[in-house]
Formats: sequence, structure tokens, C-alpha cells
Amino acid sequence: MRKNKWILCMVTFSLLMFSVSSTTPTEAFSAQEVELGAFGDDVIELQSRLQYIGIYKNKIDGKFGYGTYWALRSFQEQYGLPIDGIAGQSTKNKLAEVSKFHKEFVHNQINKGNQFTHYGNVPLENQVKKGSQQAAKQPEQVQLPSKYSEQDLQLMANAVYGEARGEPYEGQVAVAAVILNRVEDSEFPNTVSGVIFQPLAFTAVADGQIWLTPNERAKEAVLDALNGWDPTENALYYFNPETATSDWIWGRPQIKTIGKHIFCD
Amino acid sequence: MKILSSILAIGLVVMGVFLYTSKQNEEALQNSLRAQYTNRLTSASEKLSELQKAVQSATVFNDKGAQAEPLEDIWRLSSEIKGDIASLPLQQDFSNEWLNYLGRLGDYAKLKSQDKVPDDRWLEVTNNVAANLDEFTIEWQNASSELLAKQQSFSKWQKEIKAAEPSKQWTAMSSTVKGYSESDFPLTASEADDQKKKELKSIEDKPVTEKQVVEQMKQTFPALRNAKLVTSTSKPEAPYPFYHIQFHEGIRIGYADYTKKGGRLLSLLIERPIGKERITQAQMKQKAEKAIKSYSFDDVELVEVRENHLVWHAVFVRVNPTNKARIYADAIQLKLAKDDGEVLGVNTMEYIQEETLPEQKTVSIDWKEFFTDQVTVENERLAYTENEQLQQRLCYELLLLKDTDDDSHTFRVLIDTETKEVLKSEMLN
Repeated sequence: MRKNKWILCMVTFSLLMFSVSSTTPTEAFSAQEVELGAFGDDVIELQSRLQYIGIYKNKIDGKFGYGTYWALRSFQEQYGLPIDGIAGQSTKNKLAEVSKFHKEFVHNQINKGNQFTHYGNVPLENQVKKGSQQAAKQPEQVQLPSKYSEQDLQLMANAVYGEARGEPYEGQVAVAAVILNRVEDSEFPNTVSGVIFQPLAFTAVADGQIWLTPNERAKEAVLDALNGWDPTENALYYFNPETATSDWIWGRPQIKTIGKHIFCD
Repeated sequence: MKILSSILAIGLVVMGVFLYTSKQNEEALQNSLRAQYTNRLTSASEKLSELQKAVQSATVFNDKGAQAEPLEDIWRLSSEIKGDIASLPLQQDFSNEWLNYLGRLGDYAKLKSQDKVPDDRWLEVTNNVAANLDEFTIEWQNASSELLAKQQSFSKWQKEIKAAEPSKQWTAMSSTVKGYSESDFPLTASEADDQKKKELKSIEDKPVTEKQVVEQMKQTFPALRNAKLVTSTSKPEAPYPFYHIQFHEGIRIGYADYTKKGGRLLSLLIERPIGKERITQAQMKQKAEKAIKSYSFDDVELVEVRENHLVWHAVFVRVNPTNKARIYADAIQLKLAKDDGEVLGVNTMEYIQEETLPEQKTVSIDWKEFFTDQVTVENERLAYTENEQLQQRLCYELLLLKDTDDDSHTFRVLIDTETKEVLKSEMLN
């Protein structure tokens, strides 16, 4: 009788544990659902786990782009889950069940800027590309419209910081918008670097202030301009009326004043 | 005393060495810059002569095969000269006009090579360009030779290019090239329309007062109800008149621009610290959809979201009610805080400039024949995009997946539903 009670207790306990483990969210991911457009640690884990089971073949970079999207849909299809390309709780649970994630290894490689993979059937030490070690650089936590690159962002942030770091936020977005308006205009070079380094175009290039390290605010301002904001209402030029010496710039049709700069057509 | 003299002497020697080295470095830099500018200037001159010959050659052949090479040369040379001019410190107005002219010439040659310019029109334009380039080459050679000669004294040359008043010679050349642009490549109807839209000249709404606009802003953005405002208007020469409202409300600081005609919101940006809490992507999308409806933009759909360091950027585009095609040129951008989803930015400038859509035929295309076996069509819908002549065209918008053993790539391709021309093809991340 005592033995039966003991068995009954054990069975009840096992069933309880099973039900708890099957409903409690996995500790592998955070509670956030992630989908196309997201970035961060959850996406790094998602890409790593999908790669571990051979479904995701692209770079593990923490950015949920189309490569991750198709791989996730493929995983959902293979495991009989609803195919929506969204990493919700059931998808994450299943993924955590069938894959492994070597967090320290993956984050180390990303932080070191190494080229690496995270396949389950290859020893980890063989998955870092030889000679790929670069100067440690944290990846930019940004996602840009497809026509712009991280280099554009960096270069524009340098230009904005060099030209307008003392200006209000709106004035910094405005300087970035002028650069982009010039890229679009047929009278100027058609690349960001071509516009910024056009001789005599920007004071910060001439006096070397473009090489100062930009702060986060300048980067945010550039990001807004790259995403479409233009506080100048289509200006192609700007100048500081206190320091401008050229008669020519005063002759341009003026649009508005932001901070110390007058923006013109 | 002796020790002091020795220290002083050593100090003077060190300073002398330092000054000498600095001077040497400065001279080395000047020489390097002088060499680079000379190289670019002579390169531009040589290529201009080649361009002149290519344009003349393009007027000689009627045969398509024989025409191909001079057309390719015109396109290539105009692009290369643009690169040279853009990297030279020339008078701004002249640089701008010359870049514009070369760009238009290159584009025109490209259009001709694609059979998009009638033969008689091509001959007419090319003969004009040839005559203008013959004349301009002489002016350019004189001006550039003079500039090169001035490099004998680098400081004198620097002084001249930084002068407040531009030299008369370059100003005259700028006017000459501007004249060529206007006569050889007048704006097409589509370009004029595009310019008109860009300048928001098509808005015919009734003017609104500053007070009405401020009230409207406070209603739309309740967080700014008690903000301190500084309102100004656009400068008299601005292409379209607007109100510029700068606001400050507690931790929020920013601006909003409203058109004077109709009081339409052009753009708004709020800067505030972002907390550490994070809303989910689904919550953010809900908030974005709710916000866009509350601003009365009922004909748009959410097409893209991008998570960034502190904010989400979301893109909505207008949808044509008749065929449900997306009109990418009529876009609205929203910026939402990652901590609570507050709308920190709205940009409607493109949406206000509503596109004129064409009546257009739709022919079916067999994608299996159109694409290689390496790709699969994952998604197909209708969308509008502009062609090289800046006209909106109805397109099949396809998402293509190229999946190999090593990696996968996604392409977004827009194909004209009538002409089957590929108007846009980009690789997505």
C-alpha cells in the first residue's frame, strides 16, 4: 500500500513537471516576438539556432532581414508550425528543443568582427574563418533603407558632427538632409561621399573637423534624414550668416532658418 | 647661468627642427594636393576632347551597331568627367551647371542606346551639343590652362578659389553652360511635373492662419498641448509657403512644419530621452496603425518597419483603391519610441504630393521563362514606380529568392505590366 502511494506520488509529480515544462516559455529566448525588421540578441539567437540545424545559411548579424525570414518560414513548414515568418512562443520553443545555441561563442565572434558560422555538425573551432579577425568593432545597431549603406551613415554622421554639433537636433537632421538632397540633384555628385568631399562644399572637410568622432545624437539625426525627414524643405545649401563671406551664397533663394544656419535653394 | 643658456639653446634647436619638419610636411601636402588637382584638371581636359569627338561620331552613323560605340563613349566619358569636376575646387555655380549638363548628356546617350529617343530628335540634339562642345572646349582649355599656371604659387591659387567674389571668367562659363542645358535638354513634361510636385506648387487649398495650425497640431499631438511654442513662417523666396513651429514641452523638444495652404502637416520630429523599457514589435505596429488612422490617412498600408537603436522607423504607402497596387512614391514615414511607442516623428511630404497614375495595359508574363531556374518567385503583387522619364508605371512587384547551398539572397524586382521592362531591381538584406 505504501509502495503504491509512493508510485502514485512519483507519477503525479512527473505529470506535473511535464505539464509545467511544456507550457512555460523557453528560457532560451526573451519573451519578445520577433519578425521582419527587428534586430538584437533574440535575432542573433534565432539565426544561430536556425543555422545550427542547417536552415539558415547567411551571416549571423542580429538583423532580421529576408534571409532570416525565409529560413524561419522553412523551419515552421518542416516542423508543422503555422507558417507566418514570426518567431512567436511556439516557434521559439520548438527551435530551442531541436537546436543548440553557443551564446558565448557567437557573441564573442560578433564583437570581434570575425567571419564565422554556427552549424551543428562542425566543431565550433573550425567555424571561424582563418585570417578574418579584424579590429574589434561593435556592429552598428541600425537598419537602413536599402539604398543606403552603413558607410553612408558613418560618413554623414562625421559631416553632421563636424558641421553642426552645436546646433539643435532639427538643425543636425537638416544638415544631413541637405547632403541627401544634393545626392538626388543632378547638379551635384550622385554619391554621399562625392557630395561630402566635393572641394569647397563643406567647411568641416576643409578644416578637418569631419574627422572628429561623431556622437550618438549626430548618428540619430543622420538616421532620421536617411529615413526621409527633411526639416529644410528641400534645401541644397546652408550658411552661417555671421561667418559667410561669399556674396554668391547670399544670393540664393532662402527657405528657412534653423539655429545658426540659413537654408536655401 | 651656463646651464640656463644650454637649456635655452637646446630648446631653440628643438623648436627649429620642429618648425622645419612642419614646413616640410606642409610643402609635401601642398605638392601632393597640387599633383592631384593637376592630374584631375588635365584628365578632364583630355576627356572633354574625347567627348567632343564621340558626340561628333554619334551624328555620323545611322546603323545601330555602328552607333553603339560612340553612345557608350558619351555615357562613359560624361560620367568620368563628372568625377573629375566633382573633385576639383572650381567655382560652385560652374561645377553645378557643368555636372548637370554632363549628367543630362550621359542620360540622353543611354536613352538613345535603349531606342527611347527618335532618330530625328537625337540628330537635332546631338548636332547642338556638338556645336556647343566645340565652342565650350576652347573656353575650358583657356580657363584650365590659366588655373594650372596659377598653381606655380599654390597660396595665390588657394586665395583665388576661396575668394568671396567668384572670378568673372568662371561666372561667364557657368552662364554659358546653363544656356546649353536649357537649349539642348529642356525639362520634359514629366520633369516639370516632378519639379512642380517637389515644390508643392500643385496645392490649391485655402490658406489657413497660424492660430488654426497651432490648434490643429495640439489636437493631433496631445502630448504637446501645453508646449511652449515659437512659430515662424518660411522665407519669402521659399518655393512653397509654410509655418515652422518649434516646441518645448518638458522632456520633449522639436519642430513641426505645416503648409500655409490647407494647413497640411509636412513633417514633425520630437527629441526626448528614451527609457529602457521595450514594447514588442506587434505592439509597436498596432500603435503605428492606430496613429496613422488618427491622423486621417485612411488610404495607406504599413509596408516596412525597421528597428533601430532607440526607435522604430515605419513606412506606410498609399494604396490605389481600384487595383490595390502600392504607390511607393506616396509614402509616409513614422518614428516611434522603443520604450512606449510614442510617435516621435511624422513625415508626409511625399504623401502630400499625390502621384498622377496612368491608364495602363496589363499583359501576363511567364515567370518561368522570364527568370533563370536559380530563383523562385515567393511573392507577387501590383505596385507603381517611376521609369527613367519620371513617369509612374504600374508594375508587377516580385520577391525572388535565390537559394544555393552556401547562402540565400532575396531580390525585389518591379516589372512594367505593359512593356515588360524591368524598372527596378534591388537585392534586399
